[in-house]
Amino acid sequence: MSTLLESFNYVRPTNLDQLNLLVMDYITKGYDFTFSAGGTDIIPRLKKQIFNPENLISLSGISDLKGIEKKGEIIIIGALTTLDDLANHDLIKKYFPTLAHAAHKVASPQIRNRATLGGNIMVDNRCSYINQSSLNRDCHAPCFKADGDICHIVKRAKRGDEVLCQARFVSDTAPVLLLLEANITIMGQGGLRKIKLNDLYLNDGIDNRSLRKDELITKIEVKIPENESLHYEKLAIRNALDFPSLGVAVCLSEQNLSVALTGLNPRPGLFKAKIKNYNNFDEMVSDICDQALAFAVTYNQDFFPRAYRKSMIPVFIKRGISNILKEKK
Amino acid sequence: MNLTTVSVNGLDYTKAVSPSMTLLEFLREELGLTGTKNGCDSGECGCCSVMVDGKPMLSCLMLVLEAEGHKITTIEGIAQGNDLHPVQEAMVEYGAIQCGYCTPAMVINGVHLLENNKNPSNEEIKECISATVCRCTGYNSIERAIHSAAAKMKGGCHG
Repeated sequence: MSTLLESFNYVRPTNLDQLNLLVMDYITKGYDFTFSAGGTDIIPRLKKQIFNPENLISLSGISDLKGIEKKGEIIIIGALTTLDDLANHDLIKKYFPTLAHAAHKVASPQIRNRATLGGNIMVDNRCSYINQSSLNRDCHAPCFKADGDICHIVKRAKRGDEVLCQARFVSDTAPVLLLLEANITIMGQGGLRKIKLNDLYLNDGIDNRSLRKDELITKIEVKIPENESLHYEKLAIRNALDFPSLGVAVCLSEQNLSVALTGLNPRPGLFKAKIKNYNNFDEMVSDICDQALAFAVTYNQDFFPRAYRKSMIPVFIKRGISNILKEKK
Repeated sequence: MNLTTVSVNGLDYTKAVSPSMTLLEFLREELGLTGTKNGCDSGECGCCSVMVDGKPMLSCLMLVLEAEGHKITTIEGIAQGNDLHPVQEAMVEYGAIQCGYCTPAMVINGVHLLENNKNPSNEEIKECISATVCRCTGYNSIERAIHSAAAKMKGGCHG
């Protein structure tokens, strides 16, 4: 018998119709449920009893949600495509080498064989208090993310604050997809809807995704860029396994410079600058660095001290730009 | 309890299991295949690597019910009878085994690498074992063993 996992009911629908019927049934009956794609983040959180759903709906049997295809100038990625398949797919390596690189930077080879792109952009926010064993957590009062009334990171935080929970957003692929202006298709009881990836995220560490309980991402659509070059750099103690302490994606075209950040605030940061609005290139770079620094809220909830993580933001932005310019030559 | 059939090392096993049982617990406790080790139980040490349809995955992060319909290969399924796999032979030869706790996972990951890449570079070998923690060997002997196994599998001389 399982020693660590709490008991739950497990269902694995094999197509989208079955899934819809099941979700409708659960919603009408008022059952508590959660979706699981690859499960590589959900299983550790279940083991640590960070949440205990009554029902686990596994999406792994739905083959319609896997695979990558090209339709005209758009690449459509199924939400259940594994990160390993994404990083090694010919279309992705050809048109979005930086997305392949970012997918390759996630966790470890064994985890990438199972973890999915949909799961990575939906990954739950992390914090050095909540992502611990239940034994460790039991030594403290429950925090806001655990339905309690205190934040162990920001002691003065209280209900009613603009940002209640400071758990960090830690997806590696999302900043690159944000710069590529990806759209996501969401399936729910009301049918399908398509939104910009940037509109998915809220600045709330408890749950930063603007999805209803019955909704899930089915596909990610990315337009092939015409003359944009991207770069992604990740700060982490180890090359394998670590979530980003800071991740900076930079995108440079002839007209625009844009930057996306991960590993800091509850939501990813996205900043754009038009080259024509500035007197010279350096002025634009320093303005976008200032915007990024103004956005970034860092707390000591990581291996790296907060000041170090913050001071690396302009370093990574400038390094990204110089790498892009070097590759163009 | 759910009834499930899982294919492990070419044999189908049908058992009644709790939905919260991981593949790792199933292998070790239901089937007695204790070659696959339980290290951190949270996906960080790599000890519990098994092949799922030929790709290494962490059995502690996979529910046994998710394994239905997939072919699982554990360390017990790597050798052919008494004939060790070249990666296993090389691990012995190069002293890449000390306490042995990470060895099954190192072999599973090494075998997968050499099945897909006959001539791996140092960097590729390092990446292949990057998420399998070894506290004894310092990794160098494991890297040398995988190099030597690659040369042997190509039919070349040792080392």
